Amino acid sequence: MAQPFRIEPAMPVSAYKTYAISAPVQTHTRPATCAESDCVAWRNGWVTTVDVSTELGARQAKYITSASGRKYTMTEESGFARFEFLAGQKCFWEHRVPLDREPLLIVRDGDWRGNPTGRRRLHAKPADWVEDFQEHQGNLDNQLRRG
Amino acid sequence: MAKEGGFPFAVSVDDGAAALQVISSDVTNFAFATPRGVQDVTGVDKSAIERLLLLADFSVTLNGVFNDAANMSHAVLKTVSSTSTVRTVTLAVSGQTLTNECVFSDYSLTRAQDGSLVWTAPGVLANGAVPTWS
Repeated sequence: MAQPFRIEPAMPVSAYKTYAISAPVQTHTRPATCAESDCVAWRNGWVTTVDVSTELGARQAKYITSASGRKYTMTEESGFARFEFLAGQKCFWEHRVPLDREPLLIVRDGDWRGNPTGRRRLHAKPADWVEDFQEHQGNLDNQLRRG
Repeated sequence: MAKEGGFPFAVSVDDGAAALQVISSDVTNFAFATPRGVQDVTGVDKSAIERLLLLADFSVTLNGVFNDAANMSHAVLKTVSSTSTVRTVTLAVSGQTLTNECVFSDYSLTRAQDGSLVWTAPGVLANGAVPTWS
């Protein structure tokens, strides 16, 4: 993934420590039906409009008409195909819902630029992660007050 | 402590109108980068004042999945590119809350290889005070 625009840190990567909580989609969610996700398109129906004058639009229209398996009514206007889908059908979005699983509670060296030492610790309990973070921020605050 | 999306943390961010919104269920990952401490930032080219200021250096990166529902992540972050505003970011975990005043520099949307639409929003501390838990 391309990096977003960031304010450049004032210090080298070795001067930072990162506290992170991570619940990756791949490991902490599972595919879900529209009903489980209370999908608005599934509940109310939806409209998909494609520009059939483009290659992508033509492919999308072909998929809807020949492979999607969904019920629709189609109207055409000015090179656009408008597909109106009835409620109660699986939408085109892949829904996911969270698994009841603890996130990864990470403390590691470095920042978003990397981890120069490779040191990385995983806490088992959220309270321990918070305590670690609290102590660290408390130390910084004390150092700042001392000057 | 609020619990959303099945995960034991609550992340809230100000929207463009400075109204704090809970977006936890959209957030899959967040990271706070903070200085290691004085001993690690002391360099021969740094003055004491610089060192003190750097103690309050702090950055946040939020990652999540696209959600355009009212008051959720897209509604909150879509104004990052058009609004120069200091936003309150709170993290509540295990009964403790960390509150920061941040400036977000981007709200970057990416279509992942699996077809999902994900976002990244990096920010930095705006007010120079060491964020502490309460």
